Amino acid sequence: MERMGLWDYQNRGRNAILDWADEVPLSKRDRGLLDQKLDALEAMSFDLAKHTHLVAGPLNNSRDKHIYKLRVNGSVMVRVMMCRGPLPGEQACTFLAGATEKGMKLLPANAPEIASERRSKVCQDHMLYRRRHERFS
Amino acid sequence: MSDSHDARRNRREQLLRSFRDRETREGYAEGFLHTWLATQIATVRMQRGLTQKKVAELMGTQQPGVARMERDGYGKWSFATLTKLAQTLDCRLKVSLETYGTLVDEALAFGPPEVLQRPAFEEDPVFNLDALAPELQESGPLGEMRRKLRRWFDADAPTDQLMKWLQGYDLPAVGDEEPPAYWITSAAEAFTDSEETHLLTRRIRVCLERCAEADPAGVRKPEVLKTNVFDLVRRRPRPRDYREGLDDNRTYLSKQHARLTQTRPGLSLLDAIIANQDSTHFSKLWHTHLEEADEQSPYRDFSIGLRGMARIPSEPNPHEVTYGSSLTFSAVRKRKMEPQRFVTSLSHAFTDLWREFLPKSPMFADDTWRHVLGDGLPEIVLKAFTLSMPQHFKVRQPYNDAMDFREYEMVMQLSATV
Repeated sequence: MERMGLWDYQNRGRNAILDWADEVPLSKRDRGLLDQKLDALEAMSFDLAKHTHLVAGPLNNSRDKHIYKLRVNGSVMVRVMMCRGPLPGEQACTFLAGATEKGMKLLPANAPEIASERRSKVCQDHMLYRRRHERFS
Repeated sequence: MSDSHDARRNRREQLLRSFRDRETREGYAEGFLHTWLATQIATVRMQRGLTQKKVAELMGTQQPGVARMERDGYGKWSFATLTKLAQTLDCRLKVSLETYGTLVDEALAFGPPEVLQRPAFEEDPVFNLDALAPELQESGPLGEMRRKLRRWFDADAPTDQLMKWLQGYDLPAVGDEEPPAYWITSAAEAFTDSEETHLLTRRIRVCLERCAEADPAGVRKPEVLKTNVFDLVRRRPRPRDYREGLDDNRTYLSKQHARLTQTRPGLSLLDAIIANQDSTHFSKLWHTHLEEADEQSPYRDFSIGLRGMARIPSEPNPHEVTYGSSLTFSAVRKRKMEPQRFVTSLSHAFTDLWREFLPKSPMFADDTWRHVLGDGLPEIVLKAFTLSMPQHFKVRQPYNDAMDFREYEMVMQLSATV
């Protein structure tokens, strides 16, 4: 089975997802957990990832219907905003923005909108706005 | 193949590195357990053609309860519920304490449905002997071992299990006695299909690579492992397959060099070898390269000559050795390879020449080789040849005349790696 390609959103040459993880900040345990979920997503079919609720979406509260969230329940409820592709025909996921969830509310609350804007940028120039996924641990 | 092999090796290295931190590996292991359980429950349920609702009915519970268990990160299963679910799906529940070392292979193998699927009792080959090939129907521990190996092979399961068998663990018991460690090699005889043999050989090679990595979690009985792998090599019809590991290394070096110099991989093999001349693999890579050379290869001329050194012809051919050494030396000199390194590398190649030819030809027993080979050899090559002598005598000792050369070579490789 072909493995999914994983990409991170980048802004001005910096990995926005890793920067977010440093800001939260995530503990080593949470980083290990997050890496495992991303490894699993890379290895399994997207349908199975949705079925097991590893990935939820597409989210209603985003501008378009392309934003999903990856759910990781560690000591921090991590929700990574992501999309499939987005380039036509590619077997890939792009992580667009990081968020946490507390009491059913996202922090930042506009994470889906941010992700949606970033997805548009990636669609415009994927060479400039995304890079190969880098591990958290 | 090489791309996925490289990617897999990278992933393995990343996991090994991050697992050195206790908190990280604990987090990863916890997440993996949740993912594995949720996805396996869903996969096996679908394999049985059952809906969540049907499973809930059979368990005497509600559909949302089953849906929760198929949710990654649920984490609140009870032992009793899982046991009941396993029985509903016609499986047994296995709970086991494991090392973190085993997690690496399990994580790498995770993904394809075949890894997660389990046959129902009626389809379980152990209880469905009629459907099996004759050699797998045999009763007793050897038959059991053959069926185990076949199931493991068909499921494309991690090499971890094979590592255990090769070291004498997890083998079917014979009465009260310890199972013989060679059970696994006898069981492997059931693989007669050429393609399957090839695949099995490649997976045994992974075990060899793990020997070389001296993975403490995987290698507890190196001597038993060594004996069994050696025995398998002897029994396999294509012992050369074991050498593909070297081929992968060659590809890696070539790509590495191509990346650095922005040239196309594959076309810069000799450059790659020279650029990586510090590598201990150097002489082995050379051999692999030579064996691959064909009419279109830019290294064809070197190949023709160096075949003598790379033990390819069945008869010793000193003239080829001479010709090849001169050609290669001149090519290497043009590319500014350091003479001392060339001497060292070439002496390794000559050591192999000794191993190959000495048992067959008495001319190497004394100084006759000087007269045969000396004519036309550059001085530096002659020096390399001389340097190879002590290495030859070092390896000569364990050689047994009753052994085939390839067996001997494998023993030497294993001795060096384990």
